[in-house]
Amino acid sequence: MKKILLPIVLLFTFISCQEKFPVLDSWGSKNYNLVNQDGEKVIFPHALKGKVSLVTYIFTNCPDICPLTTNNMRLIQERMKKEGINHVDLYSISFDPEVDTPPVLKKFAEMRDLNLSNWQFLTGDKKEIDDLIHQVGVFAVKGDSTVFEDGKTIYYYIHTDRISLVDKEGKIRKNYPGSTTNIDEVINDLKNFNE
Amino acid sequence: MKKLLLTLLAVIVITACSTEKKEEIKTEAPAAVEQTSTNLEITNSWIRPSAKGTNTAFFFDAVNGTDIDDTLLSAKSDIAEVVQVHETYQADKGMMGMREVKGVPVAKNSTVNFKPRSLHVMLIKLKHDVKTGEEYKIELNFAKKGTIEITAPVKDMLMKQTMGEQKH
Repeated sequence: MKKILLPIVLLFTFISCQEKFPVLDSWGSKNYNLVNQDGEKVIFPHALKGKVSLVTYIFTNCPDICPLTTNNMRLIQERMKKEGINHVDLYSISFDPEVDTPPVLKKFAEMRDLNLSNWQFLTGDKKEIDDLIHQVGVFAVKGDSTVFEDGKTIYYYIHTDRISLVDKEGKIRKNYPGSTTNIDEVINDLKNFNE
Repeated sequence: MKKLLLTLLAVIVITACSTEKKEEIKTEAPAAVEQTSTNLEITNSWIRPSAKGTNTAFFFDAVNGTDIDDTLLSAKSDIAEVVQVHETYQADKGMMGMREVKGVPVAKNSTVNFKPRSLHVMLIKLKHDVKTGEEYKIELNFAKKGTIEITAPVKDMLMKQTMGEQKH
């Protein structure tokens, strides 16, 4: 009897956990050639495999939402350190790569005194980035703009506000509202999720 | 024995996959209606740090303690090439956007909060780095009150929760 029960319970546990963190989306077999804030190549999402990740999507000309999301990522990182959660890496992907070059991303992080030990800011070719974000239902469309005296224009994106929990296989298992993320909820999930 | 074993295993399953009780997301208190001021004043002003060439936001409370309706028409500062009044808004499919606002009414005996995820003064294309601990002058131009000059501190966002709760 015991021999029968144990596999049933294990199966039940597995199914229950799957329901809590179901696979929502993935990049499939696609990989993207990105670079981080130091100009180092990052094959995404291949580079994520083997560790749990939190991935968010930003642009540095964003004055309100993206700084809030970035701040939430920092708060999560600080709580992770405090609570001994060390199986998670952080990624912020720019959907405005024409502006957000590696030096711009590096400066963005420096201005906020961010700890980049397990956090990378990624950019790349515009077409690749567009494909990458669309694959997982993230959207960023140009909205209002400002035209300067020299004719240069900057755009303000209307964009998805999200932090994604990505598993060790590079599959998205949960999405949080980036700028209003409940830090406690994320930390609790990270404690319970190591797949 | 079997019953006991089954119950025990059921408890293990539930415990293994249970979600910890979700904490209630803190929300901001509504803007105060009662005013102690008899003037139109700017309080709780702060600027978010940002790098040269990028944009940032200036936040504050416009406290109109008078019996006269007023309107914020524009803003000005030497630290940015362009200064505009903007609002963040929720677009379709949960997307967030931002747009310029031409004139923000500040009704008599009321407070309008210029705060994250809402109204803010946008400092576009900063002429230099704007760092935590520094202070900068910004002018706010009201239809009735005229110009109010503010010296606002640059503050980092050490927030427990980004529902507007700041811990400076």
